[in-house]
Amino acid sequence: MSGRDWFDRFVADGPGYAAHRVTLAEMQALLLKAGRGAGLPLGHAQDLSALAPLLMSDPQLLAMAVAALDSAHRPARLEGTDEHAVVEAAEVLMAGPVVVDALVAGAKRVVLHNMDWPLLLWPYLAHAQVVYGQCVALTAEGKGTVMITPASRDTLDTFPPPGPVPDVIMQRLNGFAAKTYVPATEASRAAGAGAGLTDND
Amino acid sequence: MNVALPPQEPLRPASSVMRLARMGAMFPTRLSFLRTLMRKLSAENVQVTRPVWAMDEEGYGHAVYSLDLGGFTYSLVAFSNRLDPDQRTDRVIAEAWDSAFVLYDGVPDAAEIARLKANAPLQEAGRFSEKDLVLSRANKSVRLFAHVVEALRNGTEVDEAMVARIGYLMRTTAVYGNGKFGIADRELIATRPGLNGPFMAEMLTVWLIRGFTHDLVEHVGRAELDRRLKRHIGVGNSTGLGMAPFLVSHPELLNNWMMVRETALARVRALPRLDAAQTARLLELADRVTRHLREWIVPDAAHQARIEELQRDWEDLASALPELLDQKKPLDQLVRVSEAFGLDCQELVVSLVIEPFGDLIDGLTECMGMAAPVPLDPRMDLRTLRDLVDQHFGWALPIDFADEARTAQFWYVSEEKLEPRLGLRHEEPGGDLESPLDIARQVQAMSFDLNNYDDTLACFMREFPQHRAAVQRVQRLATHPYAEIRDNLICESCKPIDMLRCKLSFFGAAKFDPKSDRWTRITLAQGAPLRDELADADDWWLPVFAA
Repeated sequence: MSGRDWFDRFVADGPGYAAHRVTLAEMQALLLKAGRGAGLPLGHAQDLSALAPLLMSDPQLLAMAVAALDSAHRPARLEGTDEHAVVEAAEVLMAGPVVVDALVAGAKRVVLHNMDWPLLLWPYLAHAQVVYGQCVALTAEGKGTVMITPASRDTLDTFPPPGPVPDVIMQRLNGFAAKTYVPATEASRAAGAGAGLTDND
Repeated sequence: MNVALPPQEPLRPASSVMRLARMGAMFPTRLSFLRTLMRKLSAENVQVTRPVWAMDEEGYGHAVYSLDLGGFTYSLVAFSNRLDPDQRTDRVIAEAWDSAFVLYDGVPDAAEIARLKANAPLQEAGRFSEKDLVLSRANKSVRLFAHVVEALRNGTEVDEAMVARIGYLMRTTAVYGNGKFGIADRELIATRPGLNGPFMAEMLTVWLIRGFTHDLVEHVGRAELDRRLKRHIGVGNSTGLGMAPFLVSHPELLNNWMMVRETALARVRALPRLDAAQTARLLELADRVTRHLREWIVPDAAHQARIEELQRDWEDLASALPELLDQKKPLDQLVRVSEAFGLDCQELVVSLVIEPFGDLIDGLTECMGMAAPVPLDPRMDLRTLRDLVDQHFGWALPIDFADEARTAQFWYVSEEKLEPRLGLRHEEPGGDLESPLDIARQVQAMSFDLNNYDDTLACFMREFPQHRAAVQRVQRLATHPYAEIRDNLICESCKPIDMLRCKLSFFGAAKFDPKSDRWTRITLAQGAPLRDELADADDWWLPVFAA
């Protein structure tokens, strides 16, 4: 099932999802592994992992991130100039960090067209505000098009605290993460961490 | 406000300090986390109570220990279970243990104890709450536990040689913190007085477990154990590969630990002279070193040979100690002279020379915690980044990764237990799924593309997103020079045990007892004050059996 189809079903089945408390550390670790399992470059998976507390504040936002993992993860293409950049056909998990880089490096305006999951720019930019002190304004310019400009004050909506995570999201994330796991063999079990089969000494 | 920092000699360079072989020779210091915790407990005059002791005659049941620290109450909830010998293993694949523990935030009521009783013995298979701060388990040292019980019951002498040789009644095989399996995220306690340093909650748990093992053996033995023996009985720990990747995935933390230790060394090296009391103290500690090394006996022949080589080095150096200490900048001289000996001896001297100078260095422990991660700076110009690569990763650039020996190992996460493991790339499947601990290879690849690029760093990372993580690692070194291990972690000669020893020495571990290049047993809290001895809490570096 594609990420988009999975997300649509998630929305259709909600909002009464079975959900459980997940710790921040667990979600950070899982997003990192899931990102790597989904084929994101390591640095981009790390950037996604850092968004865990924000994504956990809204099950739909987290579900979008999970759906976005199911993309080709093509490098973001920037056109225009360093000051006025344009990103076409942006996949947010690749473009989010690139947009933040551009703004931190001094861009006066970044426009993204045909974004797959435009709402996910919100946590990227909110996180960047905290890390870099770079406030921005985010303007929707039509379906899939977003414009970001530097701002003198925080204009982004605040995130509620992290809440319980729907089980279906955990299952999907665990599925991506599992793509980084190596099945055990008798040889690997024997080598393992090295301890004895029993330690009754 | 101007703050006058103590004078210091130059820091030892990261190019030397952060080599695996040296990290694998480290000893505990007064900056180690258990030592720091003991000083905190002592400063607060902490009183440990035991409100619950529900054990049957054979020592199965549960107990609760409580204490107040920094305005909060914490409790160790301990469960002691019957375990078949064929289930007793140190490996992480175990599914049952002699005992299970939770450090609880507050004092648990009966319902909470019942919840923990249903989950704690399951360990990784259980699920925990935000009230649970640390999860652990331990197995008995069957030989020593049984012997002490028998001796106590019969009123006969406990075999002190056996106590000295084994050193613990139980050994933990995992101590989990920071959000694992649902327990509280570290941020819950990160600013609480007393638990705000690295691994403080875990160390508190370990120290309380040690006291529990004393109580349990006395309960089953139906008599009191001699205080001198109890003080020499620490708590064991068996540690494998699971701990090793932490040092790579927490570079800022690794830097802060190392930076504090090196700064402490630099400060004592700058002391112009020692007074008579300081000299006497160092000579007293040197004598303790000699005794400690004599009592450090391990079954592994290769490691025992290494200990004996250290003993010989130490004997040579110690004979010159009175003369070395009686000159200008004596500790700087001592460290310089030690460089003629093996790495074990050199790092032992580092631990020794900082031990007597708590007033000068203990405050540095406040800097050992986790600060905010260093953010990636896309504005850095490429020349600066290239210079940083040359300065800090120059060692990695010439490595020939086409040579199979340079990529012989790969780190991975096992599907079975979701634990880090190490495989042989050219003999086992799974290399394509390796965990990203191949830092040297990543940075070399990044450097290659960087040297053929001429635009901004933001553009570089956009065109080469696969190098984003390596760029950040290199940038971090500009302000955190001790953040990276400066060795190839996937080469044939990489020994994870070196990473384990580094981390465990920061915990305060002694008596390293390696069982292979991949796992080791250690002893924690040996010689540490008992629960009613916290007034005298700070003189147990390199414990020796009191005569």
